[in-house]
Amino acid sequence: MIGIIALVVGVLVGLWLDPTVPEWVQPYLPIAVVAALDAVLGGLRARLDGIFDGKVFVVSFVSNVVIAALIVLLGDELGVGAQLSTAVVVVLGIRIFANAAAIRRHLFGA
Amino acid sequence: MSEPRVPEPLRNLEPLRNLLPDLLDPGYARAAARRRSVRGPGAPAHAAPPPDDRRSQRVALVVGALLVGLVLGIAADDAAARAPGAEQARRGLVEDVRDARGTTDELSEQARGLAAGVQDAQREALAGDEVGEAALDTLRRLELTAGTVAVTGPGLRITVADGGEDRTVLDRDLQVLVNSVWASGAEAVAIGGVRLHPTATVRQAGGAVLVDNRPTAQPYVIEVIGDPAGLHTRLVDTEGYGRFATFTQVYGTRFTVETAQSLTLPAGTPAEPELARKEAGR
Repeated sequence: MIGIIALVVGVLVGLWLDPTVPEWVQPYLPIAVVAALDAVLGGLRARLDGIFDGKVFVVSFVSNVVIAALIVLLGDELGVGAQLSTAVVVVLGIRIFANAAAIRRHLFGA
Repeated sequence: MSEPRVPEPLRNLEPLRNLLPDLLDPGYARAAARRRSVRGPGAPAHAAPPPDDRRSQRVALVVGALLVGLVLGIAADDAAARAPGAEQARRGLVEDVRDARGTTDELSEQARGLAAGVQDAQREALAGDEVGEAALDTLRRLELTAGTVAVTGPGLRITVADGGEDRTVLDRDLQVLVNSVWASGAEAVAIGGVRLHPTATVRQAGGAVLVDNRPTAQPYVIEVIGDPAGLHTRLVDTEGYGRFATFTQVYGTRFTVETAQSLTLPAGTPAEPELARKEAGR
């Protein structure tokens, strides 16, 4: 519950701050969003499995964002930027799907 | 929880298979196992942990959720701020293009009106005496060849277009054809409604053919004013006609020549003369 409240507060603060995203951060923002969704769904599933751990949640989120950003950066440097971004999105997308499916099985038993 | 079934074709693809089965971060399971070992093997995973552990858990959860929320909020805000900006820029550009086109149309209309006024004035000034009539006659002939006046008369309409997907008709083919048409005795020529004047060019820019620097689309319609029968007879013998006759057979290029009773070609827009010289004896 407190997690959901913090999430909502975070969204509102993000909207309210209205920060100007620097040009060089722009390519990483969509990747960060996907990584964030992955962390949220992973955490929710862990909670439903009864093995949620706050530290794992924070560390997995931060490291996911950092690694995803590094992969995109590497792709840009190698000149295959779009393809490596796609790889990140595919991997995280599969995880989001699988975790969403696990949550659905938990909640509806189907 | 049962392991998700892996489709048969994927069983041989180890890396992909590793992606599929259990996608929960293994860290969660390990942390749970660690807690269980601390609290003793019998304690269930969701048993109440010690108070200080619970507090740090809560802090971590709040911090993590705040971070995630921040990312989502900032991204949403950024996306919202970006889309209208791009849309506005696009709309502004479209507006600019439309304005510029309107201005061009207006100005060319104005130029046409002024040119007509100049001609009327010339006629008025020169008509009446013999010298003036002769000068007017010369002027009219020069204007016709320079392509500065609209002309109407019988002639030929030649249509040229690519036969298939490939580009077979290039600028140089059109150049050869146009030269053949002039050589056959054409008095005035226009391609795609653009009048050719002595310094007009037909050239390629990427995929488009520019006639006197204006883009022309397929099919290329070449309108020629002159004696239709004579034009046609002479044209058949020229290099341009032969080239396109071959194209028709080899590439399936469209190439038709038809007689037109009345063609109207607009005035061209030749460059302003920069140097005028009085000829000796005049």
